[in-house]
Amino acid sequence: MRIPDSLFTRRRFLGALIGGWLLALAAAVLSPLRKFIIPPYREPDEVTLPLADYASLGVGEVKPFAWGIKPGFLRKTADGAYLALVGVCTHLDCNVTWLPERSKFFCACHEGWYDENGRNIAGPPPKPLRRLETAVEADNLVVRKPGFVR
Amino acid sequence: MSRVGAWFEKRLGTSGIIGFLSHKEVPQHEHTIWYYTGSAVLLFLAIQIVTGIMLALYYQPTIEGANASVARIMTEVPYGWALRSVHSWSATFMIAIVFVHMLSIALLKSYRAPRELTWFTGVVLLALSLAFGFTGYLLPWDDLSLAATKVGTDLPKALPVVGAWVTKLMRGGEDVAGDTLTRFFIVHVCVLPLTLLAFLGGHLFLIQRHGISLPLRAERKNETPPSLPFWPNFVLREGMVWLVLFAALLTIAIFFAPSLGPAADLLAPAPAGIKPEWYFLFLFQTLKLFPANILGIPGETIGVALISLAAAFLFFLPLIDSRPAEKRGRVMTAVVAAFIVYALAMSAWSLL
Amino acid sequence: MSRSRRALILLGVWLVGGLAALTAGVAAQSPGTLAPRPVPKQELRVPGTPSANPASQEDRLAPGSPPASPVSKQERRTEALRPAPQTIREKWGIRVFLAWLWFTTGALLYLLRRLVRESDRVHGLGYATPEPTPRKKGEPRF
Repeated sequence: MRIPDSLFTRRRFLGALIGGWLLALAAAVLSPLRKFIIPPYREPDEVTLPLADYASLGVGEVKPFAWGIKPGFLRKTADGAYLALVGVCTHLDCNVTWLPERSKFFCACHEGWYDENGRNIAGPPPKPLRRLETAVEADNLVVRKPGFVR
Repeated sequence: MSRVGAWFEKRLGTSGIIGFLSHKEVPQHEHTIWYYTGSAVLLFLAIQIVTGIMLALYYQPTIEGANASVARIMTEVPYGWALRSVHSWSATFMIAIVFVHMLSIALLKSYRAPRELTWFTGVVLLALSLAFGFTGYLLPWDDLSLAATKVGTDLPKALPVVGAWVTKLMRGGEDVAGDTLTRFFIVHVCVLPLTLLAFLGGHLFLIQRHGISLPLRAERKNETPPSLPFWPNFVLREGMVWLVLFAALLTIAIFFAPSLGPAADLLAPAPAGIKPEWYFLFLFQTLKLFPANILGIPGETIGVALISLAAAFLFFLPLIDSRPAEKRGRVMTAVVAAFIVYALAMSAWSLL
Repeated sequence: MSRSRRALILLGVWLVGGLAALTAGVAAQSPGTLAPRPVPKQELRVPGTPSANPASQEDRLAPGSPPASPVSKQERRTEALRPAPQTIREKWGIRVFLAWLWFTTGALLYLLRRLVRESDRVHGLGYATPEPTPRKKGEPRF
């Protein structure tokens, strides 16, 4: 029964109450499921490598390292410092390779090219390779995300 | 009918089904409470399917990965431990309610003509549910799972002629190993679900075809007890039952979450105090009763034979109890009641 | 108490309940599950194998159980894993969630009971009773 001045009937109100509460219950049960279906993997904030493995690098030489489950590349620059790049193509996520004879990084998927500093020079890649910070601490070479402070 | 409704009606013609369901009635008498068990099974089945799919997103069915992946679910994946616990407890609840459902049908003799096929499909569904439990139990691949599966897959050897072959088929070889895990996994997530859904469809169709059964007494006296419309009256009541069952399941799952043992070692001795899941306890205890040899025949063979006879009796019950209203019917009721007492007593004994 | 007053109270309680649910959802989330795991050095993991490092389970073992095996993927876990809430936040998050769950169940049962009574009353009055399915003589009604 709908009283002339009321917005809705008591029946509809109670129905809305039940429906709303059921929705809340459903949300309470489904939101953990939503969290469940995406596993929590995060890239490491920093990776510690033994300096000995990389000390023998000549200037301009490149050696790979593991950045979590992604490939990384370390290159010794002219001033003796290390340049760290994430070896994942910025186009569609393929892993790139270093071609020493050309001094360039190459992505085979769509023929993308990067120079020795990771800048995208040819092909579809829209951005340069991601750069990471490096630091030498005692016997270790530490590679970390830019701006990360332990 | 709305325009969208009319569009579907023209192409699917579902108004017949909807019309039928809206006229379905449920009789009301002192045994109406047992009518709720069927939909309760469906509730837990739905929960199993959803939680099972969720778990399968992370589970790895190999010797190297199985235990570690379950450990990962329990420690790293958000709410993984709760989801695994719900899956495990919902299995227990579902099998328990399947037993209650079946026993209520047996004692009320709802299997009598013309509902024999419904009973047959129901017994198959019970067997499939137990198979689900058995195959699922191996998947975490911990020491308890391995031992339980070794025992369970050893039993078919007692069958004459085909026994050894059946065991090899179940195990994927002579022993429980990586191949056992892989095939148990595919049976648990693909073969059994498809088979279950097929038989469940048949079971539900037959129920709609014959309508809800009346207790024997009412049918004999040709009474028509008062009835409730299925929709919305009975469905609302079922909803209330589902709410309580769901809340109880979540609570128990949170407080009594199962643990995970270390990964199974194929060379290690069986852990002390090994016993199967509760729904197999009475079978386990029954087999323990038989001595190693009776008149030259292995005791286990006789045990398996007797259990098979009992299972056959259960399956063909509607045909055996062909005159349920007469003395034979009362004898059958006593036999079923004796079965229940036996199963309960054996289960209790095995826990001592 | 008038029906409308009761309904208004229910609405208020529902709103509070919803807020409690939101809080429970936030509280029950342990920061431990989402914190970055220490990545072992030089471990080029093949995608697809479980990334579970036995050491990463250490903050999930039940309080009182022995510490996890050392950081080595080859070490076998020798103790059973018992899931249990680790932080106070988690413990209370679970309690709040369960309290809200049972409160919701009770409230929904109360509301559904009213619906059931209503539909029974309607059925009893003979309103909205569906036409019985045409059946042949002697066939059971159900």
